[in-house]
Amino acid sequence: MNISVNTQVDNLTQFAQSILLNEQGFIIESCDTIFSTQNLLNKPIYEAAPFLESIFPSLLILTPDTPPIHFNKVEMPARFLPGYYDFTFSKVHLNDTDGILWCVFDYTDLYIDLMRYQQQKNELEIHRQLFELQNQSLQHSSDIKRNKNFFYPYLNTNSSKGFSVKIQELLLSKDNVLDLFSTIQQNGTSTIHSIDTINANLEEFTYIKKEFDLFFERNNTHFDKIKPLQLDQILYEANAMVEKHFNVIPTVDLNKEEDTNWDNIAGKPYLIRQVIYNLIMNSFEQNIVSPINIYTSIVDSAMQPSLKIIFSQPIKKFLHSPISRPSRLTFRISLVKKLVDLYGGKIFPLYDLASPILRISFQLPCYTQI
Amino acid sequence: MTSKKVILTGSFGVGKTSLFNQFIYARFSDRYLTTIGVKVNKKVVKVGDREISLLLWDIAGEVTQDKVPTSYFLGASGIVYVFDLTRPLTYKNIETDINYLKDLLPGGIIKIVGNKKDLVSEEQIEAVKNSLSVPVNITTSAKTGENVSDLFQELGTDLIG
Repeated sequence: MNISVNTQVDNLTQFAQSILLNEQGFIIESCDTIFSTQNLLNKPIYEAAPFLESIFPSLLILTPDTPPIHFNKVEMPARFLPGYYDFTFSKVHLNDTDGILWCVFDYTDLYIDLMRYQQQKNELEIHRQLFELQNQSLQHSSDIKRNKNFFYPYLNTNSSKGFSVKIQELLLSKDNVLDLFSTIQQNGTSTIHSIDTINANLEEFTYIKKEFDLFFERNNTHFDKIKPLQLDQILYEANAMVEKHFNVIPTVDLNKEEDTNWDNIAGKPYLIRQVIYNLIMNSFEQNIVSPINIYTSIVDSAMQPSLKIIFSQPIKKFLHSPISRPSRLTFRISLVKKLVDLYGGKIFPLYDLASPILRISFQLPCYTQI
Repeated sequence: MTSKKVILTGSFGVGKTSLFNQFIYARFSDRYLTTIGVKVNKKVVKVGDREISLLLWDIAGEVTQDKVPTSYFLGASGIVYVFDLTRPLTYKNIETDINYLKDLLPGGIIKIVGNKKDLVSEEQIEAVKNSLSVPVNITTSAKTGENVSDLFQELGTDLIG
């Protein structure tokens, strides 16, 4: 007998079992304190359970000097040895031949308790992660909306820094602005005349807004992490939308010769586009039900010819919905103010309490050299 | 017949046991049951005119692979690293984990599997794949069984070499 009586007693008290195997996997001896090996004597032990099959080749390369291999919390199949066990395998030398000592420790009860604890812990952690994801998703939606509000200041900042020539190209080609001024010049016969430049109906606004929102949602745009390429793409689409839906038809009469010296008009034409664009965007954010008008005119202020634009939109609707609209309007106006400031112009609202029309007037110098 | 030991590993709750059960028994349970240690089962896969017995080790999930007992990998020929497509924390450490496993099992076959594809859209799957620095070999659903047999078929083919 290779397994001593003392070991067998210890095994009994420790819920353990010692099994000696030869290198062919047959059981040489077992104290059978946990399970009976009687029905396993005629075949290699590794055929009894896939676990043993999978490790047996590795056991064969052990030497008596190598430390035992431990496997903890092994779940054994019900047909063989139901429960959770720790196994230790070591190489032993028996009667001039090598064998494998397999020690089995039955910790089923302990591990079932551990499993319950771990189950709760993991479930909680999984729920926590999923909950956090849901929150992030909600936060993300909120961020998209918030970032949309920060988009234009971002654009403004970057364009003012000369961020990208592309921005200028995309927002408005210089030729377009010069064409505008040229038309104004050709038709000008009086000092101040208004020009109805933009007239869009609600359907168009709603359509554009939807397109724009869809674009943002589709691209999951984070403006704080926006890349120049993305920005160009956004601007391109935004510009394309403006181009598609708004028709600029300027008519003006001028009678001052110095005001018609349009060769000097250079300025920063893309800023005009930004101003107009943001006012338009602002308008359809207000759910305006009637057309928006932008009136432009040429004025002479202290011998400086300027392009004066009066943007006019009904405010009745937003006054009746004071929860969110005014803040967005304020935002747009402040943005436009920044743009106008950049251009070296002036902007001021034209208040008329009796009128449901919000009018914003701004003047842009026409002669500024680039 | 050739037998190969394959370890199913990854974070907890990613569906290793579900993949194991789907592959071995063709069954799935919605109830999450944690694995505390290891359980092993096998299934024969036919590769061409050859057969290979895959001895699958379904081990307890760990947040990082360096917490898995190294003895588990003794004699292993392949690793299936599973992550949950719906839980970013389960693939947060994927690059470190894969490098660790490659060191642990030089020359071994490692399959990276995104599980629970039934819970996400194709766009989300692509987004997850694109966000990872390691290539995802296959995305599976242990629930519907989608790609599960394909995964182990591919693995068997690679293991036979």
